[in-house]
Amino acid sequence: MTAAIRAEGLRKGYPGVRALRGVDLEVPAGSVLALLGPNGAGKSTTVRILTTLVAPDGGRAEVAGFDVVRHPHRVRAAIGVAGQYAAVDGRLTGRENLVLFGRLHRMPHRAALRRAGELLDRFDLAAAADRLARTYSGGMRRRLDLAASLVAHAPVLFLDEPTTGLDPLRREQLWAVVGDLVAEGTSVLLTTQYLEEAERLADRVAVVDHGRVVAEGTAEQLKHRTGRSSLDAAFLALTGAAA
Amino acid sequence: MTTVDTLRWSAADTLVLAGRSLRHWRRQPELLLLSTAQPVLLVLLFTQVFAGAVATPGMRYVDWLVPGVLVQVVAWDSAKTAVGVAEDLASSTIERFRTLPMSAPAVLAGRTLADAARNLFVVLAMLAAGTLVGLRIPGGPVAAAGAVALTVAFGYALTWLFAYVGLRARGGEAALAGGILVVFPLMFASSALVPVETMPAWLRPVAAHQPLTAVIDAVRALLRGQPAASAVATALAWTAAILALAVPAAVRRFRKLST
Ligand SMILES: Nc1ncnc2c1ncn2[C@@H]1O[C@H](COP(=O)(O)OP(=O)(O)OP(=O)(O)O)[C@@H](O)[C@H]1O
Ligand SMILES: [Mg+2]
Repeated sequence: MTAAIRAEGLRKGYPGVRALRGVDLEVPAGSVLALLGPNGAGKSTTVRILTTLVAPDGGRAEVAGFDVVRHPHRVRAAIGVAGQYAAVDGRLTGRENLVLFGRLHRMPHRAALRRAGELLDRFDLAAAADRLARTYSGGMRRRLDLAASLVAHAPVLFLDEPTTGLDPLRREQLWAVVGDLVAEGTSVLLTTQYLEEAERLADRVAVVDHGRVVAEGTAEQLKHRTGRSSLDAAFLALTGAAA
Repeated sequence: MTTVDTLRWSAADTLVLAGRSLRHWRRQPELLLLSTAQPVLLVLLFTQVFAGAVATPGMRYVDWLVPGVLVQVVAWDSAKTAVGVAEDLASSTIERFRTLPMSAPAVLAGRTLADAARNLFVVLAMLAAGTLVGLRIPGGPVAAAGAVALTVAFGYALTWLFAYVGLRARGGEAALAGGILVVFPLMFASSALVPVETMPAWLRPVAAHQPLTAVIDAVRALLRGQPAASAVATALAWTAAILALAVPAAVRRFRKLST
């Protein structure tokens, strides 16, 4: 089985910042990788390159077997994306937002409508389905955005800080949704600030710092390697934020 | 995918996104109403205010003015496309679309198509207002339909130009400022309100040979039932030239968003 995601030596610079200095990653098909790292480490930049939104300055990456630079269209047909900031259309209702995504994924109208209904139920948005998304609370927007990333049953899923802004109950619900998807064979790359989340959801954790992967392994391995008892402490040790 | 498939999907995506824009307006009917009331008000005001002051040889002022304001307003409305595109960019909606396996130009094509539909609506409302204040259309319904089609087609070309402006601008307000900068000189240094012959010598050649004047003159000739073939040809040439320039520029700019 080929890797769902493979990145080698990804580099990306912005004026005055070297956001990525050679990121290597591999996500075997059907598994979950968590990118963990402090603010500004380069997690979102990595996600944006892998989802064809920005071109890397150097290195290469494949998603679902397709090169992200040479075959962006193929990559897009295989991915679902929820970015760090919810990008829902406030002037459409929740349902209309999801139907729009279904239609742009080229589903027939009825299928798009049915899928929207399923996802609104799954994300606890059924009662608000026909309200304009601009009247949603922050967590509701977030959930709508996550639902939009699942419209097409994509085999590879990118979730950039998916649980930021969710209450504990909704966070648990999202974890369950991700768990179901993985059981169905979906491959997931997610970023998170919550070590508990990485531990719960991810098969492997990659710690990113200053544009590089500084450690990679299962949560257990990372704890063992740093001699710390919690992933929190291991994280702090790895990113040099504490002695 | 074959080329035919690609075209079919691009068209389908375009329609889906045009539907999105039209839904936005349905959600804010007051916006559509106001943006239609404004040009109607212009027609009503200008015909009353300027009628005594401007000499329009051989025709009543209202017959002179309405075609001018019609094209002016369509140009002005097209500038709003820049704002819409810039706001979508700023709100990361377009970024989200770019992760979908959809046709990239459809994002722009959908908006410009919806804006053309809005322009059609506004043009018809203004013609109706014009007839209220005495506009006569000796050219007859077929020529009038031709005039409407020409105006909307020209507006469509302009929306692509302003889509490009919107893609270059940082945020909606900058886009609006950029749009006004382009559209104001075109609107007023034209034959819209006064005959070009009455302008100072340095301005005359510019005003006489700019695209808005070409379209206004063609619309005027059509509505009055005068020979219009050469004026229409010039107007269509401008429309085609703007499209030929703006569509590839906007699409290329859109594709380059990823770097
Ligand atoms: N469009 C951009 N223009 C300029 N600099 C950028 C841009 N995007 C990211 N950067 C810079 O690149 C670095 C990495 O940013 P990135 O968003 O990838 O971090 P992150 O790990 O996702 O952080 P956070 O946890 O805060 O979301 C930062 O220094 C950031 O300022
Ligand atoms: Mg981030």
